[in-house]
Formats: sequence, structure tokens, C-alpha cells
Amino acid sequence: MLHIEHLSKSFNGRPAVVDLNLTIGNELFVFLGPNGAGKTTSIKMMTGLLHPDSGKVTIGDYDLLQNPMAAKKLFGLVQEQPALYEKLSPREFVLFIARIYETPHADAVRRMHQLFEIFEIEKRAHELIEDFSHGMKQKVALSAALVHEPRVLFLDEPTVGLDPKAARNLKDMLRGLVNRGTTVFMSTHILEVAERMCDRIGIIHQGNLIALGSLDELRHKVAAEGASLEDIFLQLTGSVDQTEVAQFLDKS
Amino acid sequence: MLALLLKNRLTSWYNSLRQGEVKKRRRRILGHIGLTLVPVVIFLNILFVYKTLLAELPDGEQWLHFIFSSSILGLFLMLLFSGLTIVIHSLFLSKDLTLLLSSPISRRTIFQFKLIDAAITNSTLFFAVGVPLILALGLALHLSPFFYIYALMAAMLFICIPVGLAAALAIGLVSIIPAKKAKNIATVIFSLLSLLLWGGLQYIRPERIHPDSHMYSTETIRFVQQKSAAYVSYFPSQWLSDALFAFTSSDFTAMATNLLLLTSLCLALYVIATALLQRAVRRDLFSGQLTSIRLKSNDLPVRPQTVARSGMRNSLIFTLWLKDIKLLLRDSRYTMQIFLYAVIMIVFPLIGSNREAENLGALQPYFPYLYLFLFSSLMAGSWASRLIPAEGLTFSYVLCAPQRRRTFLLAKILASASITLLCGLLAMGVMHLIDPAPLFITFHVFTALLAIIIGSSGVGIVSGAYFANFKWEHPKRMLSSGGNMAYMISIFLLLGLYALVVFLASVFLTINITLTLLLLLAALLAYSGTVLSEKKLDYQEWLY
Repeated sequence: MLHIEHLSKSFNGRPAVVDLNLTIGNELFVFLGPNGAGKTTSIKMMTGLLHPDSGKVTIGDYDLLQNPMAAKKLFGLVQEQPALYEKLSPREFVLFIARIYETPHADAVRRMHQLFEIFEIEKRAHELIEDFSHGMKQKVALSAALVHEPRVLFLDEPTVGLDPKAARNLKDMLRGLVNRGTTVFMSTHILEVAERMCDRIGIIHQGNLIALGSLDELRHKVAAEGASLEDIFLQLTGSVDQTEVAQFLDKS
Repeated sequence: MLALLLKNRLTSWYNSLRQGEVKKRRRRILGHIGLTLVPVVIFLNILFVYKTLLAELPDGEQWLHFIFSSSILGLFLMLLFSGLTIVIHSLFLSKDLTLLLSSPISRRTIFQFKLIDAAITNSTLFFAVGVPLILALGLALHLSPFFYIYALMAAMLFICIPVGLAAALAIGLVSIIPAKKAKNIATVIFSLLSLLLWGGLQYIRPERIHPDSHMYSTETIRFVQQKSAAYVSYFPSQWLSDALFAFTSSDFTAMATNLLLLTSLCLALYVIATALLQRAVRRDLFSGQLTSIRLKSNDLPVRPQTVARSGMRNSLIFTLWLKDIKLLLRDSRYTMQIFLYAVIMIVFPLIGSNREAENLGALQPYFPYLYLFLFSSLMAGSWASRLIPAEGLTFSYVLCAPQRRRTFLLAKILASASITLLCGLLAMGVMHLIDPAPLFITFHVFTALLAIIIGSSGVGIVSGAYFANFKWEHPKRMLSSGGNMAYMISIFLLLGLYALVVFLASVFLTINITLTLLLLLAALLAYSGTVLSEKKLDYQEWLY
């Protein structure tokens, strides 16, 4: 469903993503990496928000650069910072997005109500988004990304700001979507979420994909049976020496 | 602690000139250079006015006093309302409030810091206008260097008063309405006041003051002087003015009295504002959380759900247009600006003189509408250019959307054009009420207005696409450096092009053919603007 070949991008000569190759089918794929590793840049290139220096992104049967309209119809995107039209109500916003994606109005209204029920925004569907908290805005952004039934869903840190119940609903929904044939590409810092939900994991570090596979495959890679994802992640990306932490605490 | 806060503020300002992106730094430095040029221009002009008054009028010094105090009064009112905007922002909306209030700093210190910060920011206007007025006064009357030292002292006291008053007003206002709205209201009052003062200043231009000028009217000025004398003595501006003129006559009692009045009011305002602040703290108004806690959500009316749609309402362009209109009309910052433009469009044609229109031949009946055309063009171009960055970070939806970008751009042109046309029609209506014009003239004016608005929107959208800054904090920064300049130049070039077409066509063609040509030109501009902008947006890198 999502095919990425030799994708590279640099900013002012500094490489942000280097020769990324991925093929993701009907699965829940989690993209991990430390801050500034290149996760968001990769997602932006996969969704046409950034132009790659080289490489190719194929969504469904469509090349994103050659046939952007057809490719864009297939995916939905939820960004880390929910950027919404603050002067619209959730209802107006979600229906507006549905209209852009040419979803029939009746279907859009039906799906919108279902999503609003799940995320518990039905009661506030007619208030302006500007009055919402970060978590509520995230719920509206999720509803907008899902209203047109995308075949590929990109999520950049979707659980940030969500309350436990909404986070749980999202996780259930993502699993349900995958079971119904949707491809989910999610970047997150919350390793517990990744560990429990994902089918495969990709770890990016300094722009390079340094590990790819299921949790068991990654355990095998670092030769640590039974290791948690946190241990694997830290082993692959490097961590601060614990003695330095102890020394700092002793001094203070 | 207060010194530390002020030092930190100074360091931030200094770093903004020395560090950061080259573009931004250059813009700030250019801004500061611009700020120094404005007072020089004002100084030269006002010195000329003063010298003309002293040389040409028998009671020139009296006139000088009147004009000086009137200017300082105007400046005081402007400082008051600009101060109100600045103080509301500084005390209730600034981003550092949460950090400061959660730090171990007393609220009184934070309040003092914010007041000083606001006074410094607000005094920019005084340095741009007030300082040239005072310097020109000293030079015109050949006063000793001690005058400038004395004037500096009085001026320092004077600039604290509007901020003190503004602080008291701001705390009062914010306890009734949300801070953002209060700030917008203050901005509009400030803008309207500036407009009125500009109108007022037209009467003290050198050519009007000169006794040989046909515009010279002693009676009007005397009348205003007599009527206003009873009220102005209560204004601090009059105390400053009297204090400075007392120096010219070496009247030490008047000098001391007026300085004392200024000092007492400064202190009294500080005490009142501090007391009000204590009250505000108790009511959780001064908490950095004001807007999110106190702003009542705007419950929109729940409408029956429409499941099926038909006709135009189902079209994508209508959806996009409606969204843009909603964004404009629901944001008080934008509605205030639309309102201001509408006021300007109505007021300027009324105060403008059509005396020069005698040699325009067949075009003479259209001359009174010149300001309307000019401001409609500026408004349409301005909104078209700003509707792209106005989306802010939400513009990523446009870039991700499976629709041609020209559809989005066309909707923005239509939104900008429809809002401007509405204001233009309103202005035309008012002009018609005051001075009714024949129906065919009205029709011609409407057609020309439509052509100008559509053409300007087409030009504006290009500036928006090429210079959009999607991460703006203030609407003034919606276009990146050079964007505003490019937009202004392109609008004036467009108006020049229209004028040339009208001139050539009026010589060789009939008015109807001329108007048809204008409409065709407008459509061409809108089309090419959309295509050019789409080309730019197709390569837009989303770095936000």
C-alpha cells in the first residue's frame, strides 16, 4: 500500500533523511526515533508536504510526485500539533475536509457523528475550535483524518494530549482500521503504545533507518531475548551513561 | 529583580538585532532605520509650519501655541489608545506571563516590569512625533539648550501618563470583556483616532495657514480655539504644552506648577493602577490564563442537519469560499480591519476635494470616486494576499488536499472580492445619499469598481503565495519581509495600468467599451494571478 524508495532530504546541506526504503502493507507500522531523527520530515515527504531531494513515494498504485491528486485521495494525516481552522466548529471543519476529499455529504455526516461519539466531541460539535484544549483539538484532527475513510493513515504523535480514555479508543480504532484493510503509519515517542500495538517497527536515527522488523525480530537483532522496546531503542540509538546521571544527582 | 527583568528584556532586543535569521535581522534593522527617518521628516515639516506661522502671521506665537498644544493633545489621545492596546497585550496576553507568574517573583514586580515595558514600547510614537514637535519648537523660537533638558524631564513624565491611564482602563475593561476583544476594540479606536487626526492635520498644512492661500480661514481656527479652551486645560497634554511655553516667557511659577501637575498625576495613576491590580489578582484576572478561562465559548446555533445538498452549495468552490468568509467574519481582528477599510472608503471621498477635477472632461463625473477606487484596490489586494497566510499552519490541509490548488486560490480571490465589493457598495451608497449621481454614472462606477477589485485580488493573491509567512504572531507579519513592499508596488502598478487604459480608451473609445476592456483586464489578471500562485504553491516546502 505504501512504498518508499531511496527517499532523501537535507536542509542546508545537513541530511535529515538518508536513503529511506520501506514497504508497508496492511499493518500498523510504528516509526520510532529520538528527537530530530527525521520522523516528521519522512512523514512530510510521504504526504507531499515536503519535496524529497531524491526518491519515490507510492501510495496505492499512485506515485505521489507524478500523480499527487490520486495519491492524496488515499490518505489521511494527523500532525503532531493539530492545525485546525480555529474559527470553525468541529462539525463545520470535519464536513469541510470531507467535502475536499469528495466524500458524499450523507456519508460524511454519518461518519462524522460516529467519530464524534467515539471521541466524545458530539456535545461540543457546534462550539468554535479555538476554545478547545490540545487534546480536544487532537480529537477533531483525528475525526477529520478519518472522515473520508482513508486507505493509508499517517499519524505523527497522535496520542500526545489525549486523555487515557481517548487514547484507548484511538488504539482500538487503529487496530480495527488495520483489520479492515487500512495501512497505519504512526510515529510516536510512547514506546508502550508501540510495543503493544504495532505489527512492525522502524527505528530511525540521524536520518538513517537503523532497524526494521517486528518486536521479536528487533530483539533478535540486538541479541536480547525478552528485552523491552525501550531497551532495544536505547541500545540502538545510544543513551546517556547512567554513571553521569548518578554523578549529577550526587553533586546536586 | 525588576532590574534583572529589564536587563533580560534589553538583552532580547539586542539579540534580535545581532542574532537569528539574517532576513529577520535585516528587517528589524531596516525597521529601526525607518523609525529614525519618520521623525526627521516630521521635524522638517513641522519646523517649516512653525517658521511660516512666526514669519507670516501677526500673532504667530499665539497660533504656534495653539497648534503645538493641539498636536500634543492629539498625540496624547493616540498614546492613550495605543498604550491601551500595548498594556492589554503586555499585562494579559504576552507569552512570558505564565513563566513570570510561576517564578518566585512578586506580582507587584511583574506588574511594574510590564508597565515599564509597555511605557517604553508606547513611547516609540512619542519619539516619532512628539520629539520632533518639541525640537522644532525649540529651534523655531531660538530657545537655550536648557529648554531641551527641561523638555526631556517634562516629556518623560508625560509619556508615563497615557500608560498609567491605559493600565487602569485595561484592568477595568478586561474584567468585563475578554482581553483579546478589549485589545481589538482599543486598536480600532486608535485607528479611527489616527484617521480623524489625519483629517484634522489637513487644516494645519502650510498652504492653508498662509494668509494668501484661498484655503486660509481665520474664523474656523479662532472658533475651534475658543470652544476647546474650556476643556483642554484638564488634559495632561495642555500641562506639557503650558510647561514648555512657560519656559519661553521665563515664567517659573507656571513651569513648576505644570511639572508638579504632571508628576502628581503620574504618581496618582500608579497608585490607582496598583490598587486595581490587587483587585484583579484577587479575581484571577492577572493570571496569564485569562483568555482560556474567561472566554465563553461561542455557542453556534444548532441547525437542523442537512443530509442532502444540491446546486451551488454542493460545489467545492462555494465550500471553500464560505470557509474563507467564515474565517474572516468570525475573527474580530479581521472584522475590525474590514470595518476600518469600510470607514476609510466612506470618509475619504467625503473629505477629499474635487476642485482639481475641472480639466478631466468626460471623466469628471467619476472623479469623486477616485478614493473609493484606490482604497477598494488596496483592500482587495490586501485581503487576497493575506487569505493565504491567514490559514496559518492549517494551510497544510490545502497542500495535502486532493484538489487543484487553483480552486483554493480562486475561492480566496472571490472571498476577498466579495468582502471588498460589499464595503465599496456601502461607500457608494453613502456617497449617493449625500450627492446623488445619475443612474448610468452609478452603473459605470460599479462596473469599474468590480474590475478594480477583481484585478487587485488577482495581483494580491500572487504576493500572498510568494511571500506568505504561515507562522505569524501578528497579522502585520503575515507576509514575509519584502512581501508588503512587493504587494504595494504591484497594486500601484496595477492602478497605473488601469489609469492608462482608462485614459487611452477615453480618448479613442466610448465609456462602455472602456469598461468592458477593464473587466476583461481584471479577468485576465485574476486568471494569471491564480496560475502564477499555483505554480509557487506546487513547490511549497512545508517547514512548519
